[in-house]
Amino acid sequence: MLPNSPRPAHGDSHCLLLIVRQFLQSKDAEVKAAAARSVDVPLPLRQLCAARLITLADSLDKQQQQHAPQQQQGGKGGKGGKGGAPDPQQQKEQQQAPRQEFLGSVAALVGKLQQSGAATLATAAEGEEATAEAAEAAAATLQATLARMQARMAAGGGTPAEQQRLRALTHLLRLLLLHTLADPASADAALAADLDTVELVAIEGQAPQRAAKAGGGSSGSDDEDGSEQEQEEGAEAEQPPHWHDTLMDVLLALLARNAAPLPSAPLRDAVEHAFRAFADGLTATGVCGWLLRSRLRLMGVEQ
Amino acid sequence: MALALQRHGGAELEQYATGGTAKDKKQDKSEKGKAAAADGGKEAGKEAAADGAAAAEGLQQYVRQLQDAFLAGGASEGAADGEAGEAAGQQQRQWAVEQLCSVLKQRAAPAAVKLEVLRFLAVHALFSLDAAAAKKVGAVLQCRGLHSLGLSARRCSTAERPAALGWQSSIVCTGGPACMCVAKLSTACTW
Repeated sequence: MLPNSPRPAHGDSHCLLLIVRQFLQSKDAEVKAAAARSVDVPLPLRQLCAARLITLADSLDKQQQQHAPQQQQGGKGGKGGKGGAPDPQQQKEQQQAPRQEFLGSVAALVGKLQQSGAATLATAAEGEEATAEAAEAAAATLQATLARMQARMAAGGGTPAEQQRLRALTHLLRLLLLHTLADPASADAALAADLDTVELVAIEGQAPQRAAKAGGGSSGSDDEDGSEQEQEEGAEAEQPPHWHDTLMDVLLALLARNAAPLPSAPLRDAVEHAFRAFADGLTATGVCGWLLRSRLRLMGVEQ
Repeated sequence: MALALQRHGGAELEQYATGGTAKDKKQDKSEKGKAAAADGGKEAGKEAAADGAAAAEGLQQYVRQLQDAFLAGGASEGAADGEAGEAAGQQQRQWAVEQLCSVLKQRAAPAAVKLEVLRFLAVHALFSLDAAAAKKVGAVLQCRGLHSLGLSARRCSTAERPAALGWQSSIVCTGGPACMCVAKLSTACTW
């Protein structure tokens, strides 16, 4: 037992063990079923599967989002409609049907397979084991951030704006997780840490200094001059950057990256939605960074 | 679709080549179902629902056939040996992936079928699975299931004793004070 943890009562611990056992057995079945119907395929085929997976999972989730408000409007119209109103029983069934999160289910399966020990990341080329390990480390950070956000979504509450921020950031993290695992060369541990810090401050409400210590993220994702960055980070250690500036750096970095051979449209779309959800917190520094990046791209200067 | 099946698929897949006409029939019957419901008839609505369930089952069966074709990779159909055989196998797998994606694009497909396809794609896009290791997942997950995500799951050595693990036996966790594995919750834990 942990030294400071309260010792549970015997009955409570037994019930908890039974619940955990059932939960873990369900995880076992999914992992075993996946392992029973899988085969090793070459890297180009994996890239094809990854590209289709990202595009279609994102598309299916967007279809769900589009249908949900239409069903609500149909329900409201049906109640006040004059003639030819849709069947109220069908409307009730549609509204009561749980909304399927396809991208979330895929991300959850990926997490289970990673934790099972029976799955090995197979998207890195031969001789790039270090790249694969770095990608797995970045993915672990993203999974931790996702777990907290999903717990908060499940708990519910908050204003509609907060819910929108939560959904936008969750969607972005899920896509980034798939991109990181599907293309280990594009994995960026600093970017994952920055997103973790943003989530801790903007969503969880932690103090910036505490979040910076916990996340261990850097202020930027570019690695040009390490010594200069260390001096800057040392000077800014007492005052970490505003969480919105960190988020803007992350979003700009995601927009600037070359996602090939994976599709970039879903990630760009998620970045746009995240920007809209967090736009009310935009700072002067964030606007300057955005304008500078746009100006450099127009001038054809690549950083 | 029929031409694609002739080129890439086996005879057992050709029975699904008439998916378009079945779709039309399903649409006609769904329209009939709506009219009957408006008129207050319940029997036509039940028939439409039954037809929809049959179509969903057929679609699931088609997805299974496509997954089998992917897993086989052309090996079952007397393909040529060497590079030509491998190329034919990869071509069949690519065709199977594209067909699975076409299933996802059908709005009438049930969510469960779509989810099955996405999971199949995710497994083959990212991981190489060890079936033998997956059979031992039950014992291993008992330890790793509650690990905080910041820790490496390899630290806890309870996985080294899969045969001895059981809810009645004493479980010893050596993962360190921060380990939150199931063993910690047991009153028999000796950590």
